Amino acid sequence: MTDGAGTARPTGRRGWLRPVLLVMRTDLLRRVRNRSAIITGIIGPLAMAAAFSLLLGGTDTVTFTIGLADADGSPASRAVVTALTAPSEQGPAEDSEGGRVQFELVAPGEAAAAVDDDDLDAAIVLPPGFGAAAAASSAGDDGARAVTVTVLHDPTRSVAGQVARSVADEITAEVNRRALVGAGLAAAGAPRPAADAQGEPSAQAVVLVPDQAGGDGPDLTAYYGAAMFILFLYFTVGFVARSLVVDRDGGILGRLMATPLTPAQLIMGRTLAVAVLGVGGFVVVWLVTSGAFGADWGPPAGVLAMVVATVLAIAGLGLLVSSLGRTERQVESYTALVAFVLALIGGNFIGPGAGSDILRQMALYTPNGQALAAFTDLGAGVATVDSIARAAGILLAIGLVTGVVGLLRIHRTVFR
Amino acid sequence: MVQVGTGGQATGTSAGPGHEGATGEGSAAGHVLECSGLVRRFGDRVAVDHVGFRIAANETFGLLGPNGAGKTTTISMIAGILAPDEGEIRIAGIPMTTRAGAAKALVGLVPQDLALYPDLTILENLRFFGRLQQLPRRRLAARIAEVLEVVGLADRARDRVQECSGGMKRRANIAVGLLHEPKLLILDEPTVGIDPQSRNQILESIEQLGAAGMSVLYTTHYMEEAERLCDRIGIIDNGRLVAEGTRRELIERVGEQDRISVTASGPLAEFAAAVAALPGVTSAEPVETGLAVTAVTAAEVLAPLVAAGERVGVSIGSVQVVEPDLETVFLEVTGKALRD
Ligand SMILES: Nc1ncnc2c1ncn2[C@@H]1O[C@H](COP(=O)(O)OP(=O)(O)OP(=O)(O)O)[C@@H](O)[C@H]1O
Ligand SMILES: [Mg+2]
Repeated sequence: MTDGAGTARPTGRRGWLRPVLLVMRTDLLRRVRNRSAIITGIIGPLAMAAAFSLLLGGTDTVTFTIGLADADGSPASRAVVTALTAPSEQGPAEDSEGGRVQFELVAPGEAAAAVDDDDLDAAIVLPPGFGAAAAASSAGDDGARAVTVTVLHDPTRSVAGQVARSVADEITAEVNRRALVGAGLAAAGAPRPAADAQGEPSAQAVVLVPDQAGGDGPDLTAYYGAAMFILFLYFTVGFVARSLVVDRDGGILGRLMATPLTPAQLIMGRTLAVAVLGVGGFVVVWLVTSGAFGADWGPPAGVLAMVVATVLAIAGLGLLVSSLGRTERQVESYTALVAFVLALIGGNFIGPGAGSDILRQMALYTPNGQALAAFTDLGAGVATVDSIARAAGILLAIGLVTGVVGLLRIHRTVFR
Repeated sequence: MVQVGTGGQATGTSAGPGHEGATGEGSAAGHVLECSGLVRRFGDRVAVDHVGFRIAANETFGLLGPNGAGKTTTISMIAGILAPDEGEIRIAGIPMTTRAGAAKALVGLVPQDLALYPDLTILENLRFFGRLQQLPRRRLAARIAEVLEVVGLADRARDRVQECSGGMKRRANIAVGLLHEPKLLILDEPTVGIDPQSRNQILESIEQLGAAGMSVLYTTHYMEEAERLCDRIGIIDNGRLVAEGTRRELIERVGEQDRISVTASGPLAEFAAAVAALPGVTSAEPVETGLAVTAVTAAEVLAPLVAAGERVGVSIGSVQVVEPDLETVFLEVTGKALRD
């Protein structure tokens, strides 16, 4: 770490990096000292997330409408349909996180179109042969085919799809394990839907569904924690351009540039400081919402990957946006404008999976939307390594492209 | 014929600071700063228009000019933070550019604005800028102690800059520029906006630095600072260096005129006309308090001046002969007063 007694100037990559790290450390010290790091990076997002999940969490519950199509027409399939679509006294079943699931009977030929048109969040199709397979299963046939159920869902709505899939899994599991439907079949030559709906076995099936809906279901505290952190992240990131403009107008930039420090090193150091603050703040918000509010963000490795990718994406975009400003005021206004517009489009102010179809489609074109979709999947326990890798890849690409353009622009505006 | 060695700190020369500069045109190798033909435009405005001068080792050079004259723009180019549109700069023979790390290491810049991070302490600011100057840790610690001593802030080093008084901030601002023992110290109006006591303290520090052998480039619009500190002075106006030389040389330029300051009341315009007509008087202008007169030799016009006053009926309070000063020079070469 320390040089020798000599005054030889360090050269090479280490020599290039040293001033960068010095700038980074000093920025971090200043931002912790003047509390901006803590306010924008931790307290702000936490307070907003708490407010959102308290205010909206109770009333704005997510309701998933899942279509049921019976392409089999067997007594077994009809029994399943009847059991799930029967009106229950409690209204739509509610899952542990406040999400609701309701079922709607659809014609097999219309299920796919209804999902595409967004009339349904997802659909479950009981395919031809469902009854036969169920009967074989309940008879304990060795050669029985597994009972299969088809799930249709919109790829932009992975939570709804996962809810449907888990319902489908539950149906097949029940059919295979307890021969629930088989028992109903044996008991009556003719279907008695009404009786079945109120009867013991069917009621059990209904109870099972909500417990399992959507894995753990989307976690609202985690969702708003991520959403609000992302919103504030734009302001954290805007610091790079803002501080350069402030330093320029206050004469510090001149003093910095009168040392051997190069503009590239200065900008790089500031960007690194912002990245450290971003990742650090995100992790704190994650830990605090998990620890204090019991939020479930999902598997840590996935969350960490998404935290880093999200910070880099928004750092890049924030650099680009803030580079458009030539004065401190301009930098601030551009940053605020873009932060709020992207937060609106990206769904930061509304619950997971809420909003119109167009909005949800547009959301995926924003880093906010991409990140939130992935965080929602992680929290709901439906994310896969592939889905996270894809989301992180998209975010990193956004961050890289916008970041490079932004850095070049800042370089040009500040160092004319 | 004292020749200063290459890049040397002329500590052995006995002729007192600076005055060789006026005659030693041949000792180019000994110049800490040489700049020539500097031009910098901002859009249509030419902020600096073919400025060139040299500063010898151990010399304090003053750049004297009013607001907007181009002082800051000139030194920004010299410090390598602004690229000139035309012209050339060498620091101890090394070309200065915005990327010339080696040349920059020889220059200490004290910007006009308080270029310190307000949320850091004086010490933290010194550490940060010192490490940017690539001073090794131990050397830096020693230098910090030294410069704090020079500017008299040793006991306030742990105060945050935002909590410091204006004078302390100014002194801390200077301390940062001294850290890496530059060959050339550039101070841009370092006494603006502070009380007389702090100002005096700063001027004393700069005198000490000059006496210790540092070359200084000092910009100011205070004539008395330039007169007190500087071995040579360049007068800059509208981006142009309109006169340059030692104080003596500059004053000789205006032709050894004396200034006479008369306080009087009554018909001043008549008085002025009567005085202007006297032999030996070159100008007589009514001013707020009386009359400003220039004459070839003050002593010869004093008696006729008082007589003229009696004649036109003004009551004269006092008559004061003022040695010609830079103010006179400035008036002469730019046609306007230095003060705004
Ligand atoms: N970045 C800039 N953009 C546009 N014009 C500039 C810029 N910097 C300086 N100028 C103009 O160049 C001229 C010289 O300015 P400069 O700051 O060098 O003057 P100065 O002698 O330092 O004045 P002061 O005593 O007020 O500090 C002024 O007219 C100023 O408006
Ligand atoms: Mg200036």
